[in-house]
Amino acid sequence: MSDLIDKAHQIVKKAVEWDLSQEGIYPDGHGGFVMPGYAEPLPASPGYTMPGQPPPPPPPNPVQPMIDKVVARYADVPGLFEPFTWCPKGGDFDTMATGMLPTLQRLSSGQIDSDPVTHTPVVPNPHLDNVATVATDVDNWHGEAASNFVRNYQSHFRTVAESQFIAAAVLKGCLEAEDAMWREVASNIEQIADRTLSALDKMDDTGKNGFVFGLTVVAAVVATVVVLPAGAALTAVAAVGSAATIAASGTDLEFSGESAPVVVDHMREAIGMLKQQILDTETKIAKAARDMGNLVESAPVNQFYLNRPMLAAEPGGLGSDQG
Amino acid sequence: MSSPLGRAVEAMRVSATTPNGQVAGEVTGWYDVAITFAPGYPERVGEAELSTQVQRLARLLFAARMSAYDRLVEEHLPQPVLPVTDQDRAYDDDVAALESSGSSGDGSVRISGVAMTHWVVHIRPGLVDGVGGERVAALVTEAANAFVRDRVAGVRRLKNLHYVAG
Repeated sequence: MSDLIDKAHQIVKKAVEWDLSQEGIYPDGHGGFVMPGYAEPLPASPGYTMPGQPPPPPPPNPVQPMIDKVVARYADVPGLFEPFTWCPKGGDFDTMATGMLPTLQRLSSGQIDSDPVTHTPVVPNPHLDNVATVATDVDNWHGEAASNFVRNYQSHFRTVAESQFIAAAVLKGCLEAEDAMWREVASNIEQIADRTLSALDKMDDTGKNGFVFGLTVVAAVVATVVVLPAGAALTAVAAVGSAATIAASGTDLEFSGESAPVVVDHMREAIGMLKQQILDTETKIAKAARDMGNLVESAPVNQFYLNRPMLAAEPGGLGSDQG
Repeated sequence: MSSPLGRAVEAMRVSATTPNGQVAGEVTGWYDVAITFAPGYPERVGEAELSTQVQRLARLLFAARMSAYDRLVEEHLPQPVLPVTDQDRAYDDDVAALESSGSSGDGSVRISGVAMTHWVVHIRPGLVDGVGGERVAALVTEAANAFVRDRVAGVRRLKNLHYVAG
């Protein structure tokens, strides 16, 4: 049983015990309940038992229906926490996001020397500079092929490299946003469980029993806009990234509750809002990724990709990496 | 399993001593109170002065307990600043007037108080000579714990009255 589900069951236990204590029913210390003053064992059935017949069933325990009713009141609680035990964890996306760094470095021409989403510096790839001089570097390269190279490839290379760099940065931003979001989800749901338990423990205090659930999922992901290189058909595209710091921009849900049902109701409300924040944030991240994907797919030639040279289709394997 | 706040409070130990250093008290966990007297002190001063010193200790011990407890609450269950409602005002008024009392099992020591600010401690005359100072401390401890239980139950009744019922 995960720690979170264990906490959920503790919430149920505390709430049930509190509710039953209001009815004068208390834990017996052995997993059951007792009602002080209630005569144990249960009164024998007044029914007459014929010789040789089984005795009639004992009358129903008057305490049990109350226990059943109270337990049913909180039966949903473990299920509210259960999805959080198998959802992604903070760190699940970290490797993938880090894995995008070499891609950014390979696509960085130096014209853009930092990740446009996170603004962290990216070491440029010096080999990309060679494309600018290849036509002159190759001695005596004249004719239609050389002209086509300059016209169709070299003159658009920078735009395409930068556009691909930005596309990769947007994807990396999405992965970092996912990572940040799930980290906060884990932190928020733990806090909801811990503070619900604490509020249930503090309920008999003289003062008002207040508690705050801090939701930081939305604040963990920042929306931004990245600018595409000059010459691109579109000038900017929406992106998302991890907030560098989770500032006080989270949502604080402030409650008070002087009875277990009220405390647990507020907990349910907070979990509902957390789920909504996940949905909203996932939608935002998915939209950024989808928008960039659509942009790449719909972009005209020479923005995210270049015309495939005819030579690539010729015999000799010129279309391969080794060509 | 307790909550984070519950675990912290269960581990809490708060103590206080009267200015004359002769009467000491300790609160362990949520509400467990223990009171001790310096050896020979009850015999020297008698029940009346002893009662006065226990009342003094009650104020100091309660203040120390609330200070330590509030720090733990701030750490584990930060309290929001919520608007004060008419319901809150009515509850606060009733709590301020809440009378609580507790006696030792044999009835020789009785502690009563209002709102945890005014305490009256009554120790039956002749008790110190009869049972000795150490036993009197145990009886005061019994009465103090009964007082705290009554206080907690009273607060719960008022919370039910103002916040739960209806």
